[in-house]
Amino acid sequence: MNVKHPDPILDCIVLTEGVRKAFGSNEVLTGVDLQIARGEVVVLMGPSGSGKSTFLRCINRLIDPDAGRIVVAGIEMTARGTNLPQARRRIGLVAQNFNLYPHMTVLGNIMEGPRTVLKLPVADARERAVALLKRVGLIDKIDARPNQLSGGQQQRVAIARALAMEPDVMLFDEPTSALDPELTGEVLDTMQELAADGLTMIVVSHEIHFASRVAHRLVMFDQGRVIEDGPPLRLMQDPREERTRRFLSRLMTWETDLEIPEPRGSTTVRRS
Amino acid sequence: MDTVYAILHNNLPFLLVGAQMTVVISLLGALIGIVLGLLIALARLSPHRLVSTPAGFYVDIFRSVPFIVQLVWAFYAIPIFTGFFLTSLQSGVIALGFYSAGFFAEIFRAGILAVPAGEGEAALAQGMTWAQSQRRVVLPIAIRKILPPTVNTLVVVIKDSSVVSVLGVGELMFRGGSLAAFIFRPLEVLTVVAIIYVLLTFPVTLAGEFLQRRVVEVR
Amino acid sequence: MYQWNWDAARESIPIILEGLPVTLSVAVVVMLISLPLAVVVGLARFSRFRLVRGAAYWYTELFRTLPLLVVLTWFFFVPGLTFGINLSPFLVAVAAFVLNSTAFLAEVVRGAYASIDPGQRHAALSTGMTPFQTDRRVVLPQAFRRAIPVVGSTWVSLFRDSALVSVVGVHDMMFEAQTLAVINYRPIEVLSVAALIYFVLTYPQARLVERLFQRLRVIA
Repeated sequence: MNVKHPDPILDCIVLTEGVRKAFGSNEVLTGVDLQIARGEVVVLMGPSGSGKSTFLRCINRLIDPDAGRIVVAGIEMTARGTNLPQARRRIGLVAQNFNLYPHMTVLGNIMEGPRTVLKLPVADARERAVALLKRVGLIDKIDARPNQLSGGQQQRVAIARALAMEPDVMLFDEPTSALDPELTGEVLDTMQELAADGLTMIVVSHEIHFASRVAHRLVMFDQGRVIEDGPPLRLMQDPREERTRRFLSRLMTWETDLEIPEPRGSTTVRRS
Repeated sequence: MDTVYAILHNNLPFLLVGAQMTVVISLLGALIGIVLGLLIALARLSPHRLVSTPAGFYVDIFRSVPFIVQLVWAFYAIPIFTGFFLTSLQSGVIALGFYSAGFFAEIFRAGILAVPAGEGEAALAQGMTWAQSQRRVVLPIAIRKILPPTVNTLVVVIKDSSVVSVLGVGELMFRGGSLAAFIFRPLEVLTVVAIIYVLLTFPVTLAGEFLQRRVVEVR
Repeated sequence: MYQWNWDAARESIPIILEGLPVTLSVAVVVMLISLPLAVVVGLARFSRFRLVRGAAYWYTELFRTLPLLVVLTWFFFVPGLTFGINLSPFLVAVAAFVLNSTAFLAEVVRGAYASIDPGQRHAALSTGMTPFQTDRRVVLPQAFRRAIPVVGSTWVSLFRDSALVSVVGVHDMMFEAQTLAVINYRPIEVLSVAALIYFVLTYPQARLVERLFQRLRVIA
């Protein structure tokens, strides 16, 4: 895939320094330093409990970090006086459970943000929603209710809903984990198209093939911090950290040492 | 001029006797309600329409008619239809029992139905006898579902015992109301009455939570 | 053997029904006042301010525990004897029932609000909505939908328990029945008819509410 690599210093759109978060005695984030440039596609990976989802939700401050600094599109997210609702318009979030509004149609879901938050007139909001639905390939479902759609379709609507705010960066929190395997393809296809359009994306996912083909960078999380960060293929073929190697190899293959004995009976039917 | 303290001091024993009566009425009424409710719940679940339909009617009727109507009706009707001349207290307890039975029946029926058939089947598949499967698998699950609404209904029984005062039974509400009017100090007296009612219901909710934790959630 | 007097039973029907408008007005007025109050109190349980949360909690607990008759008696005596304010029986009844129903309905509101998936709030906030917009556009519409069947059953209880107001002198159906029974010395017939009337009025509403509960399963 032809990916234009952005200039990291000039176009930094997400900057985090020393982000820490503990839930009670459980230290989930122990100091995350990360910089993401405009147009970069970054995949966060790591064992469960390593803090990836928590970190993602700190970026738009759905979760408040205990310490550290987070800057998104020039806005100090962690500063005290920041107008959070306004700041969050620049950040889109797509979650594992889609979270579509069940009491609205698909069109209503996508129009809701532009209408209520951006105060767009109905016609403009509708136009934007229709364009987005076409982009994710669901224009025929425009008047459907969320519960009439499959999981993959709902997630694509969720993506359209987030894009309707025209954010600078899109966050994806395990977007395909709740889907049946045959449905993940359509969502990953959509995400790939967004990446090709130059959208800045931070994705928490274990879809290693997606990471290797679409992402500019693979960021390895373990125990609340970044242990390795680099191009996906390099991490997969030549990791510098042992923990990275172990995690990625398990992700790519599943090995067993057990010997499975041959079956004792026979399944061929005797002809008399 | 009587001070508030003096009022309380002089009349608290009088009210506390009423509280005692409230406890007795509530306990007896709840007892009747639970036993009768269980029978009716089982009747409702019976496959014989001759048994389940009247039980259904019972629940529908006794939950639709206001308690005060049932109470006054029982006061007049029981002596006439059964020949027993009951005191107001006895009529009150019986009426309370029959009223609450309707609610308990629904709770028990819902609790028994809520146990998935699969659980009982799984127990039988493991080799338990029917009796064992009921006792060790089905019953605990049913009790878990039944306990919270039962505790709530017990609180309702205590509250509705106050309605028995309209028959002149000397429980807490009756004594409180009469006293309040008699000494022209409704504010003080009724506040004390309210506090006593809260103190009466509080242990029930606490006991319910305790049972919930110990009996139900040990597993 | 008791001699059942069918005439007395028949004649009591219109007289008892004279109390129906009053029974209805008590229930309707109480419901109209309690519902908005209950929304305020129920949502106050989620306020940022500990004082507000606490006040809502204690109010709800208190008035769900106190017997209605205690509150009724309180309003019957205290405003008149202690403060010199004379309230009509209707006002006494409404005041007491409002305090009681608001507490129960507030608990319903609280439960419905809390039962909404937090993911809904996350999604709305992530779009840039303020907490207020999130509540108004996303959470509350869903919460109300969930609360409707329970509000329905609260209404049925209200309608049924309104019979209690007869003890403070409100001319509802129970009051008419009681007075008639004293006059014509046929309490069994009169009260049986009263019970029947309450059943005929209450039971269909209860069934309707049951259907509401079933339809909720289908939608949500």
